Amino acid sequence: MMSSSDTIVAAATPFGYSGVAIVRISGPQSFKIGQKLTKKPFFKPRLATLSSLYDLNDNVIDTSLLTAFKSPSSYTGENTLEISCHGNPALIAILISTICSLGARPADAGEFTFRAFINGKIDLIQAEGVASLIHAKSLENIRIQQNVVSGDFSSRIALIRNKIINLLSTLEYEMDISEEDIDPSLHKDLFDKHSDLLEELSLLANSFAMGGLLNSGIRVVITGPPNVGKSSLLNFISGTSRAIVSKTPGTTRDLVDVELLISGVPIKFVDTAGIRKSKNTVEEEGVRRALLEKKRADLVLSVSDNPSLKPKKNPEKPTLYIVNKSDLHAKTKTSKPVIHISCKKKQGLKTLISAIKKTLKLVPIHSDSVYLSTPRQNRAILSCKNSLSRASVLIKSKNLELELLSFELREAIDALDSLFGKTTPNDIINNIFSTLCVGK
Amino acid sequence: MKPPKNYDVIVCGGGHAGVESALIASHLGCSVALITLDKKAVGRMSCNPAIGGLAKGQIVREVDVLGGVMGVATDYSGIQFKILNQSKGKSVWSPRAQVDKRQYESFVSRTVLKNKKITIIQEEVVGLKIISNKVGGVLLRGGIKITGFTVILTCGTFLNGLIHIGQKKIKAGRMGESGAEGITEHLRSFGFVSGRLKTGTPPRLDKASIKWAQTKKNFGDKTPLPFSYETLSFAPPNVPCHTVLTGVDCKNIIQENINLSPMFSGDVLGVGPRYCPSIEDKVVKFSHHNSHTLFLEPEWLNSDQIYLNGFSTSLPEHIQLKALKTIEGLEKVRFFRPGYAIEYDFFPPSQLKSSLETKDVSGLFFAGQINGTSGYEEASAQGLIAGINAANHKLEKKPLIIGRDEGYIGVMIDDLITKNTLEPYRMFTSRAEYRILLRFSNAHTRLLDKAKDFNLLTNKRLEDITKAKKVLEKTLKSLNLSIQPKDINKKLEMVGEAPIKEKQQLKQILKRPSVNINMLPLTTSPKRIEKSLESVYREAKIEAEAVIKYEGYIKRQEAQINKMKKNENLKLPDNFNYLKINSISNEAREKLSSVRPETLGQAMRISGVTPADISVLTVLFLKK
Repeated sequence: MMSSSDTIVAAATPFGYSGVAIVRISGPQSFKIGQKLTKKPFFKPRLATLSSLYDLNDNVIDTSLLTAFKSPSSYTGENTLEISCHGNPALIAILISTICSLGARPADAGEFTFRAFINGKIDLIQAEGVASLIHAKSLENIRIQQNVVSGDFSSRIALIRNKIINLLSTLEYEMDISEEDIDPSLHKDLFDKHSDLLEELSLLANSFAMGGLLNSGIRVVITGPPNVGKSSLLNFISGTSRAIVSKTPGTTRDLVDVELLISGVPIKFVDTAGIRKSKNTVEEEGVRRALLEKKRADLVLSVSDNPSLKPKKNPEKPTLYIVNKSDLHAKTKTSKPVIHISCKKKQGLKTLISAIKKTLKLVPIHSDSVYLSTPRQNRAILSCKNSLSRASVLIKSKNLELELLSFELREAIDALDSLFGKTTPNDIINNIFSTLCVGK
Repeated sequence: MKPPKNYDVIVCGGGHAGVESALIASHLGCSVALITLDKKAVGRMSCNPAIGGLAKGQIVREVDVLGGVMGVATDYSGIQFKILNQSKGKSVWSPRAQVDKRQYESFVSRTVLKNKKITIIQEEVVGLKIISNKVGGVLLRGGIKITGFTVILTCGTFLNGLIHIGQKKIKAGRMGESGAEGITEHLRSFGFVSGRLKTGTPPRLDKASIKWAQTKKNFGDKTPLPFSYETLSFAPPNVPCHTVLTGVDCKNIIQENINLSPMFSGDVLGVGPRYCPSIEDKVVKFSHHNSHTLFLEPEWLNSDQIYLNGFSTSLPEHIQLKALKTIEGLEKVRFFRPGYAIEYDFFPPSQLKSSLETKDVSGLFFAGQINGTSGYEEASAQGLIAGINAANHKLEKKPLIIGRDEGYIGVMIDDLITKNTLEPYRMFTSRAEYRILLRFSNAHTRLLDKAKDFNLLTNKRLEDITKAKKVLEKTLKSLNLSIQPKDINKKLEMVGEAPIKEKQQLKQILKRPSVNINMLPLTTSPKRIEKSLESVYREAKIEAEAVIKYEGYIKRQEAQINKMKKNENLKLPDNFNYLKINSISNEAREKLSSVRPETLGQAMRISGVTPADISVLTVLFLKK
């Protein structure tokens, strides 16, 4: 990427037919290009203006609504022009190519947000939040990403950073200014403040369990022998007839999936072929895929129709054991870890869903707290927490070795700084922007 | 005296920076002129009667390995030696000595005077000869020109010095010595930028007026370590210092009269040191502390004059007295001289290269307070580096540059040129990001190779440092030996450590938190040591213990250095116009343009350049 002296253009809305589509221009030439495009002297910032748009041969392309945003009061921090035109891909293609002949170039993926970052409108965490927000599938995730984009998350990190710096200042004062021996009350104070910090970091680190799931989603794979009702279960869970169900064993060959939101977490349920030895090459391939899919799963639903099923002791993946066709079974005592359901009689779904929630630790989110939601954020916070844990060992020791303690605290700060991009290698920075789409 | 010829090196100023410059340049074979306002003031200690201290002690060690005089002079004149911070972590242990100022000064001035390659000229320098960005000599007050190939300015507080005591103002370089006028103006006419700083000094008390029985006594270490590797058979006196405590009454008097202090009334324009604060600063900035410790330090052995460390001030004399008389022990105190503040010119050091040569005038070097530093040790180290590099300039050799990972001297000079501090710069251990590696006890390991490469040492010093290094190596080797359970378990139990079951290497045992090296039977035992090397062996143990106990952290620091080296290797373009990047902060734009960093590493260390700015630079320059 990316020199800010260029003016860039892209459609900000997805490709396709729609009532309205938005084309966005950002950079020093934005307003000049707008003038040529509309043959109008020009518009007041932030005031939507209706105008015809002309191509290079003075033919009208479309009649659109234009809004100008003057630097620095725009998303990118540069002069920006937004054109709301009719949502037709051919029309948009002509419009963008006209804008390019007037001096702009097509934007790279994420380049608008990259410019916002470069121009100090947002920090790296916020930029990352923009990507997550665009891809958020649930209201819950939208809420936590709003906290990231608005800067609340950044301020929380800054607050923790300040606390570490305060602790560090005390140490440095002892090493660099005070010529007296360490006061026992100082040792205790260090211990207390440090314990509080560590607890705060642990809370934050734990928030990734939910935040990460909200952002990345979960894969739940349904497996089991043929003809136990795996496809029926998929249909039962989703309330649709997505998968073909028949009495013939081995009906499902390919993978069939349905996505649902549970506690805001996008959960993909995948139905697989029943596991058995088969001479049929198509079914054999289905079984191979089923076994592969099981390896990718975050949670496995192992289905059976045998009421006296005994769950495996230590399954490779988190697994829920389900006995289907409970309506056919005599009232047996249901052994705890096994969930009895009847897809036919529509019984037991509630128990299953709450078991899924419990196993995946899905909890309601609080929109006023912050959640870690990307692996990058999680890595940084974990590394910060690890430094603080090593610092605990030093603080608990009888002989305080202050410079070692300071070393750990400085590493903790570096870890937090990496969130803002200070110690982040260039490729990681670029990676964040490349997860964004063109036009954002 | 008749200035005879063209000198290789002209040093202007005979303070701690100037003498190091002159001595090392002459050692390197240069003809040297040392120009001073007062021959008798060469090597004078104008402030506290102590050398070393937190972080500064490490610097003196480094100066010693690089061929400087400060360590030897301190060992010669010290009257109390102590290692500070012994309860706070091995890499921040810092040696400090109380010295007899008169002995110190006469030792240094004798060393300079007896050096035949140094010509001392008692005159005032008023200007420089600079032709097409190359220095050619200096201009004296009387109109005489002295020509030279290089010039080192070490003017201390003398450039347009102005003393403040309350509302009273005196033009001077130090109390009782006239200042120097003209150099600043002359340099400014060549495009140099100057600023104003202030520093202060506390009152000197009459020994007979102090109730000594009411003060607390502080002695030095019973078995002291010397500063210089050259000092063997070390047995200095252990003269106590005394402390008193300020109280609420003292605080109130200072607060009530704070407007009489020129620092607070706005009379002093210069920025003062944040870290060696005046008593006014302490009362205002740390107002939650009701009490501060003051040290009563003899200025020389049996001196009737007492230096009141911790009470630097520019309040009017009668207020100083009134405040001090509230302190137990000082009820009847009399002054030889009140405390005062002095304002002086300095040149923001971003105008320098890492060699301490100015960026714009070839052959012109600055060292000491002219660069905005405070402290004897900081001055001495810069004087030494400037002297070495002026000589190297003359000899057409590459300059000596100490890395931030090699010494406090490297940290200081890099800070000066990148941070462009606008307040007096004092060394702190916390300024060194690789602090764990920069111990007073490993100065030789860090710097001896460089000292040899640049031929900085006399034969005697080279031999003695090499010997100390060998003793350390031997000590470390002896820790590789193993010990049987029966020979150590009793001692382990005594300190609450678990006994060993089978034989184990000594260094493994030493890694345990409660074990110290003196509990271990080393093959380098005292009986076999020559008496004169006793302190060398003792220090080797201190260092060996740090090396073993800190092994993990030392490795992590080394990993950091390797990582950082990548940024140091990312060279930034020389003539890049930072003002054109509108995507970084205004402050960063200005700082980057004025400092002109050579590498991304330097850019990262410029204050005011934020993480976000660095990400922008990384993206910009890695892409190219």
